[in-house]
Amino acid sequence: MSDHPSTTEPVAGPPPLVSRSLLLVVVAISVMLVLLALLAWRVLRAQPVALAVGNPAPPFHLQLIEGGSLTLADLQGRGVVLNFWASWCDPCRDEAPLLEQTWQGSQNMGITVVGVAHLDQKAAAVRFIQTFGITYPNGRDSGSLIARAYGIQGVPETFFIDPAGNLAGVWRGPLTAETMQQFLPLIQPAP
Amino acid sequence: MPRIRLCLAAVLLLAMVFPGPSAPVLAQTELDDRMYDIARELWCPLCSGVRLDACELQACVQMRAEIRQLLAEGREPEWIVAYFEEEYGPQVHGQPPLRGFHSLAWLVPAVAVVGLGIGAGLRTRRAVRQRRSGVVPRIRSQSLPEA
Repeated sequence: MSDHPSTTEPVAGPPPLVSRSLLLVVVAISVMLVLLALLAWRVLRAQPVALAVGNPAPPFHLQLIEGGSLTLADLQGRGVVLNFWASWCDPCRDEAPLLEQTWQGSQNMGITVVGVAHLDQKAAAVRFIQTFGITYPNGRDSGSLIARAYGIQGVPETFFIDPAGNLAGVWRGPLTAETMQQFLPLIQPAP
Repeated sequence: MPRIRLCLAAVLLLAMVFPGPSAPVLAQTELDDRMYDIARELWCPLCSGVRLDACELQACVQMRAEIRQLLAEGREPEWIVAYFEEEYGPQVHGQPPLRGFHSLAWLVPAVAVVGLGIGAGLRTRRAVRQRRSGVVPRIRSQSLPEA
């Protein structure tokens, strides 16, 4: 029986199946993957849900500029013209008279126009409202929460919500009398 | 020579009659400087990757005016940044807040750095130990080939 010497010092005991440093690397990578997965989940979850006509409109809670607040639930049973605007937006100035005219003409027919000032300052928003003699309820979208819920891409944008709270139409860009006439019948409550 | 003197005198006279913009006009006020310092920390919520101090949109011009007004009212920069985040949404903040879920954006790189540091430290320690004890890298014992 030949007893050859070994080339190096053998390590006492059997070698571990997985070295400690490898184990640490695996644990670190696992922790990173879990954290990245959480981030990805959160980012994907934060994406605004694509609004589809016929689906329920996202609920909102609007702090009104003139005081008080307004929610979509408060307007249940009425058609809602939800208009996003800003004092720095020129097309918003063009459509403001039409929105006021719509409010004046259709509030007794069960339609409410609601203005949401997007990325605007209170003083500038108040000046805008006074300039155009706007009397329909208007509020500022603090934290852009409503804008994100509705996934707006810019201002002006207008959402037409029927008396059941479902989205009946979306108009991106300045409104015209023709588009208003096209959408209002869709949200008018049944007599 | 007299002609040059005459020209110089004319230039001096013109400079006295039509002075350029005075220093106070050219220099930005301290309030403006502070306003731009804060605006540099914030981002245009309508643009992609444009800081508030550099954005020429009317919305951003109004926001900068608001910062200036808040500074004039005696608000602290930290308060103004927090106010902007609350009013216009988290997209105005150039960095994720160090709270709630957003803190993960800070935590993940920190964990990575610490993990890599620990790994590198352990490896170094093992290498130093091996060098001190004169042990060459672990190789399973094996028989030498027959001569």
